[in-house]
Amino acid sequence: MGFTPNPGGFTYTDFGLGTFLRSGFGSAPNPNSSWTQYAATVDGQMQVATARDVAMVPPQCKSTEAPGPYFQKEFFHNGYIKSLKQLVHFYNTRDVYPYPVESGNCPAGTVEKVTCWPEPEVPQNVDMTTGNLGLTDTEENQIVAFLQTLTDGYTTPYPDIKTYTGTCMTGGNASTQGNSTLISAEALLKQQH
Amino acid sequence: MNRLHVKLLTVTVGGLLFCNTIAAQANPYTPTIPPPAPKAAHLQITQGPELEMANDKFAIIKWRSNNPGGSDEHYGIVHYGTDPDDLSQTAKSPIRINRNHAYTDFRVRLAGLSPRTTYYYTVDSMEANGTDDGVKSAVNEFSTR
Repeated sequence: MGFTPNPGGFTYTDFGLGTFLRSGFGSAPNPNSSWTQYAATVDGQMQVATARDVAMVPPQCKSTEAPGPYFQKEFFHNGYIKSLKQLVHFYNTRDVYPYPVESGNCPAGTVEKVTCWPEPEVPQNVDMTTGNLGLTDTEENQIVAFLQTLTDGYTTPYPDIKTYTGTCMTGGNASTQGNSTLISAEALLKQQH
Repeated sequence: MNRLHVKLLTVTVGGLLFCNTIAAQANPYTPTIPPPAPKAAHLQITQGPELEMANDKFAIIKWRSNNPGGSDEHYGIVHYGTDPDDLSQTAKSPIRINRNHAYTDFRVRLAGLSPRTTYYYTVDSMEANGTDDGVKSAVNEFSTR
C-alpha cells in the first residue's frame, strides 16, 4: 500500500532515539532542532516499557516459558529475546559470551543465547551496569519467578488476553526457545540479492 | 493541678491531630526516593582498573571507586592508545549510580580495536552533564588477542 516499514531489509540498523533526534526515516520529526546534537549520545537507545504484566499469558497457556504449554512473547525492541529466562540470561552473560558474529552464525560448540551472544547492532552507548552479573542458573530462575509475580490481572481498557482463542506452544526449553527459527544473517542477505 | 491537667490534654489532642494530618497526606504506596548518593570523603579508585575481557576486536575495562556523588547517571571513561604518551582515543559507557551502595563498579567497552595489539590506558569518570569526578588512574596496559 505504498508503506515500506523497513526499506533496508536485513541490512537495517535501528538507531532508536538517535534516529528520532535526527528526524530519521520512519521517525516523527524531532520537535526541537537544538536536540539534534545529542543524537550520537543516545544512538541505539530505546524507550522501554515497565515490567508490569511482562509474564501475562492467556489462561490456557500457563507460562511464557518453554516447555509450557506456553504463549510465545517477544521481548526487547526487536523481539530477539523469546523468554524471560533468555532475557535474564542476556543481562547476566552478555559480556561473558560475546562473539563477533551476527545472529545465526554462532561458532560450532556454542549455542546462541546460551553460550554465545552475537555482537550488538549498535555498539555505542551500551549500558554497562549489567552484562556480567555473576548470577547462578538458580538465581536467574529466581528473577524470572519474580518477574512472573508482576502480573496484576487488570486488562481494562486494553484488549482482554482472556479472549485469546489460539493454541499454546509446547516443547523445547526456555533457554533456546525460538532458536529453531534463527536464520543466518548472511544467508538472508544472499537470498535478498 | 486541675489547670495543668487540662493543658496536658490539649497538647495530646493537638499531637494526635497533627499525626492524622500527616497520615491523610502520606500515600502508603508512594515510593521513598533516597537522596542522591553522597560523595565519598576521599574519592578514590579502590579496585583496578583492570581488563575484564578482550578478544580481537573489543575489550572491557573495569574498576571500582567509592561513591562519586552527583547525578545518578554517570559515565566511566577510558583514555587509550597504542603509545603510552598519546592516549588520545576515548571510550565511555553509561552507568547508573546505585544510591544505596557505598561504591560503584565502572565497566567500559572499547570497540574497534586491532588484533594482537598492546593498548595503554587510564580511566576516570564523569557526571551526565560532563562534570569530571576528579579521579584518574595511573597508566595501565592490555593486549588484544
